[in-house]
Amino acid sequence: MISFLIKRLLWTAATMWVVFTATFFLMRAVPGGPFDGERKLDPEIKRNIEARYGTNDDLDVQYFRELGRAVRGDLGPSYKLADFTVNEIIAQGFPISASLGTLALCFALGLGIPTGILAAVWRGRGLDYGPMTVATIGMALPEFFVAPLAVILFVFLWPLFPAAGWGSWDQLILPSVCLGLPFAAYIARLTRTGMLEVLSQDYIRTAYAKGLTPTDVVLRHAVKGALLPVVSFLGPATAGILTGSLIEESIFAIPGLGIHFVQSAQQRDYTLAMGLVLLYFLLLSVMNLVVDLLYKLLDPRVKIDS
Amino acid sequence: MTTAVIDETEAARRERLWEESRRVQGVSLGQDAWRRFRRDRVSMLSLVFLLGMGILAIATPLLPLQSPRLVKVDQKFQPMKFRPLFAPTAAWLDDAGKINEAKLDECFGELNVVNDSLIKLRAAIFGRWEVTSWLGTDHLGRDQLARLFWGARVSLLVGVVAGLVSLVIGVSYGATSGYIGGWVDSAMMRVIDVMYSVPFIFIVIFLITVLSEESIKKWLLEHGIDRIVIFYVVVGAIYWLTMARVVRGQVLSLKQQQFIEAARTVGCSRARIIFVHLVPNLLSIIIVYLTLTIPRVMLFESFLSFLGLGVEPPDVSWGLLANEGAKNITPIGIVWWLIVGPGLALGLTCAALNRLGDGLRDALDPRLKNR
Amino acid sequence: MPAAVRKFLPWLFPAALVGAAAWALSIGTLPPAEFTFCNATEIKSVDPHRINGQPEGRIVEALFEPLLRRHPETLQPIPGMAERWEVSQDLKTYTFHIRRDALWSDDTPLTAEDFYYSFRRFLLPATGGEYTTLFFAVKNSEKYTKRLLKEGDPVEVELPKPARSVDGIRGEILTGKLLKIEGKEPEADEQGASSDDRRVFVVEIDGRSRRFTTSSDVSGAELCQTVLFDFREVGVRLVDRHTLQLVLENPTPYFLDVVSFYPLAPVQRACVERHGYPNWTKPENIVSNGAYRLQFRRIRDRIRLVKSDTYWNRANVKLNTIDALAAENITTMLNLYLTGKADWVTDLPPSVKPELRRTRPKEYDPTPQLSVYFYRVNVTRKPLDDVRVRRALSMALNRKEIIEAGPRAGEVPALSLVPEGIAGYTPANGDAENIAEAKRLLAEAGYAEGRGFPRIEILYNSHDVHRAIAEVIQSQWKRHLGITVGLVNQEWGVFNSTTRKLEYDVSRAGWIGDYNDPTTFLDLLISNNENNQTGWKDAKYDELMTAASREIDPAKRFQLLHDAEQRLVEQLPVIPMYHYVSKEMVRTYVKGLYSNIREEHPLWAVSIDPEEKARVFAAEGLR
Repeated sequence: MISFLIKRLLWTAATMWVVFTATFFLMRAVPGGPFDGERKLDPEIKRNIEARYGTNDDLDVQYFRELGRAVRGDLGPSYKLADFTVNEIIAQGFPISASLGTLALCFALGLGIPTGILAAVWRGRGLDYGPMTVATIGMALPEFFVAPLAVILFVFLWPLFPAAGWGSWDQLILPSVCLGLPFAAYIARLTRTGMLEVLSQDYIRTAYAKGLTPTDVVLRHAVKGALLPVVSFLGPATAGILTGSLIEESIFAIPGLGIHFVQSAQQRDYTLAMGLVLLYFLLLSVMNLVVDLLYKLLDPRVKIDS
Repeated sequence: MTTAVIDETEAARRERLWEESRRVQGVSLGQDAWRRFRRDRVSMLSLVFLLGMGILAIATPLLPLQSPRLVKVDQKFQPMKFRPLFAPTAAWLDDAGKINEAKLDECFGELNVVNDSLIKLRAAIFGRWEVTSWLGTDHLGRDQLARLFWGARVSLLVGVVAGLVSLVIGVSYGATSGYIGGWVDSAMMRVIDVMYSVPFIFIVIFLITVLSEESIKKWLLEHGIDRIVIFYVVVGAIYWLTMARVVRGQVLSLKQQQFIEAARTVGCSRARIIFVHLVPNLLSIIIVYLTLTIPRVMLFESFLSFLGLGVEPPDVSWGLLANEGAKNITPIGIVWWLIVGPGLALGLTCAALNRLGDGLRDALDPRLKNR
Repeated sequence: MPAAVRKFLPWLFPAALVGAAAWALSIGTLPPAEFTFCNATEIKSVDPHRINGQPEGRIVEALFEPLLRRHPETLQPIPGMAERWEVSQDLKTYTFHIRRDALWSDDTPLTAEDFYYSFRRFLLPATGGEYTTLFFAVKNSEKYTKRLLKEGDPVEVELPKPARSVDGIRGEILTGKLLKIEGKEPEADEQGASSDDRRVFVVEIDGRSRRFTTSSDVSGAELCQTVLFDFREVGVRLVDRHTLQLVLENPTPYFLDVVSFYPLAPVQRACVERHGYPNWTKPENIVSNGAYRLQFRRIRDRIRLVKSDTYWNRANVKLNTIDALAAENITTMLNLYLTGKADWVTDLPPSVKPELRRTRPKEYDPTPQLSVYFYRVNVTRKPLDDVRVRRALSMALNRKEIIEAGPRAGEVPALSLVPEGIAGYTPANGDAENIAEAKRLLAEAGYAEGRGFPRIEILYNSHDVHRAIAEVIQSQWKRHLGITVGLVNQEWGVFNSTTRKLEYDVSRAGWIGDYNDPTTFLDLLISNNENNQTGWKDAKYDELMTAASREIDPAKRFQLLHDAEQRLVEQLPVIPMYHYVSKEMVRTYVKGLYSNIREEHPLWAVSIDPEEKARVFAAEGLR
């Protein structure tokens, strides 16, 4: 176990370097730079600005400078939000995105798993078709479609929630639900599939044969096995929720990190983009580790190669 | 007498057994699955719906629809209207029914050989008659119904092709990684981690900008590759990651099972074990993921449209239409006919795909035979 | 162990839920400010010398006050930090008298020295000021900022900074005469410039010749930070503690407009040098001189401003707190406005504009702006190098239809680059829509009915309105001229790069005037202007523009500019589409926010009428 963790750590560090390098050169290969605006700057003035940030140095010089800085945990100044360092931007935005994401995920799990279980147990009946149809439609509509409709419904027609913002309890609900909805649908389907798989297995028959009540069989024996696909989905889902929150953050004016993901790429804010990529990578590594460990816990058949 | 009777029944029973065994022999796994699938009404309905949608999309040039790209600013934001149902208004045909090539180009853009002959066929069948704006018009006065149909072509194609691309890459990759295990598995999974952790938006911007550079674009166009084709590749190349991960997870648990052990004992090669023994056992999960991936690809396409990186006007896709619809959802007023169309099209197609996946899964799973 | 962990697992889920909710709630809510507006984006900086955008301007104008302010209604320069000023006979020397009661927010007096320091900092290449071009009317300032040096020039040499000094402190400065430059200037490449400057500057200092270089790779010369034109020779003169003089290169009639512009605001030297950039801009460190102070900044959320108690005119500042929201989504802004959470929104979704004009005419009243939407034409490409083709393209446009389909807010069709509204100036008169004539011109150029006309493409940056406009133009050109036009949309960064490299046929552009003078538009098309980007070089146009810049008599000058613009609309390297109208919507209870030609609204003039507000909120059922 310990050696597995150490190995994983080393792998993570190595891949992080690969990610850093790939991102660094990929970003700079795209046409346009951070200081190109609609108003073209006088070349000499642009040179002055570039000199400030060192973006006119040779690429290898820049690479090693930034790598050295990143190793020390300093991601440098943002080019577009010039008053802040990337560290400050992430420190302010990440807690907000993370709390939004966690709430959405909790909502998704809380709605998705029970729906999926019910649908599987009552397979082929109303309780299967009804919720699963809702689930598929929930998955099928783009978020930029659902969120504005939700605003019209629950802010204007039936004024339950405020239009935008983040910080009070009533501001949390609408964005979390909108963000979690497609994930809930996805999870419900995965749970249903996993559940059907498990319910046909011998140990479930044995459990029934022992005389356990259906509730006991489902909750004590079946669910655990049925959640495997869900668990393996959680890793990418967490990452997806972080970037996917872009639309929610934009529509509900939530000051998280989602918008930065797209804007830093579009505006060529190299340092901020790099910071976000590294953050995203770390998050994903941790989540994948958790998923692998959970897999082992839930399914004793899985061996972790160490 | 008694013996004779007994003999007779004995013979009849034997005969019956033979008969039965003959009948059982004839049913293969695929037929069996098809038989079970047919019983599932909703799945059949989904299949029929999707096939119908596909056929309509392919046959769009044949249908008496208005131009999806003709701008008529004076007719913008017309609501749904069914009266009259048809009108002889096709601008690209003159009164004598002759095609005005310049006008045709304005109405439908450049058409390939197939579409061009379909359009000519249409002109022969329907003449100048075309449907009126049943689903209303958009902010430039273009017919929403025609846009939905022409958009379906792009959206369905993107979904199917990208889904298949992701399927092929993802399954081979995931199964190989999970089965071989050890450092190969770790390395292959790290590659996925790397690809995951470069946010897709960078990859998309990178690829689309590189591929839209003048010289490259010209070269691609000469080889018949336009921006939509680039889409398949980009999107397919992004969506195989999840597929690979899930397949690997399943393989990890499957490879501990006895039938794999047995195959190894009799000396099967790795490739044979992976593709002959493992992959079929993954079929149900693969199909479920594929049916989940296609709608996600279609949504991703709409997300790209949201970011302005989607298909280029005057081409249309459902994502683009959904986006234009979403722009009109404001508390001041909702142009509902621009929302209902793309919303229903996307929603129903994705729902049907999902339902189809479920049905196929159930049908293909031998363990569900008696349920 | 695993068994214990397994038991614990189900609890993980509620724990995460509660944890996340608590985390989110811990950010807390704030009592709303007296006045809240949507600033449409997170601003780049509050450092007045480094910014160039309108959202930045709104905040910086509240925090810092230049020598002059602008009247909230007419935008004419009025006394600010300078209580009065004089202009010399030749219109080249401006003398400003700083008011005696001017204070920084840390209660220290603000003097002419602060302005001297600030102008120097603004122009200093290391600051990277983006708006410095505006200041180039001042004598020798261009040489200073762009490091235009030639032998014999007076120069200042900045020695290396002490180690670990903050960004903002300069090294020791020596002054002397430049004797010689050894080596070649580094060549600029497309993506900017190489920093590889290996030149050696031979400078005579105190009668002794010394060699300096900025590159650590060069031996045989002293290392220095930079070599610049001597700032003492730049037209900024400190007369005494309260008097500052600016000397211009040419008479510049709009110079007072420039002086009242936010990049010319002062910053406090002590503050900048103690904390360095960017730390001095933090709310806890910043020292400002405007009507408001920075209370806090939450990235992408809001900027809270509070009334300054050291501002000279504090008696007339009505609002105690102001929130500037960074929300970028225009529909969200509208939602915030309609739910009473924002009192002023600076942009609206195009789709609601016609309806809002009808239902809320008092709040949303679009007025013409000092700005223009136009298409650049790449005149280096065939067939667009033919002026007849360009004129045909312009004449075939129905600009009304374009406006109806795109921006939809009653924009003004444009046949000239310069909009109406500059007192004394008559914009040129371009060709109006005339399809028959357009067809004739196209035929004359050899493309009758569009036959043989190569496929051209309209390039635009990804945006709904730009797309809608391009689609209409595409269809109009097809319909009226029979030519096939493709659309290419590129994401912002790429778009700019493509346009600059002239890799387009026709490209979308917009320009917002910086000051109230035709040159803010007409300078764009001068041959060597970096914003020209059409490949159009016209000696006659340049000649007229140069003549205008030297002309003292305002009427004659405007006539020269008008002639230049007339030349422009006849040659059409750019096709004007329309002049923007204001995009903002503001509640009726907000007072002191007048509609004007630049949508500029000094926050010191804004106030709220509480009774009216109560009435509006009651009528709309808002809380």
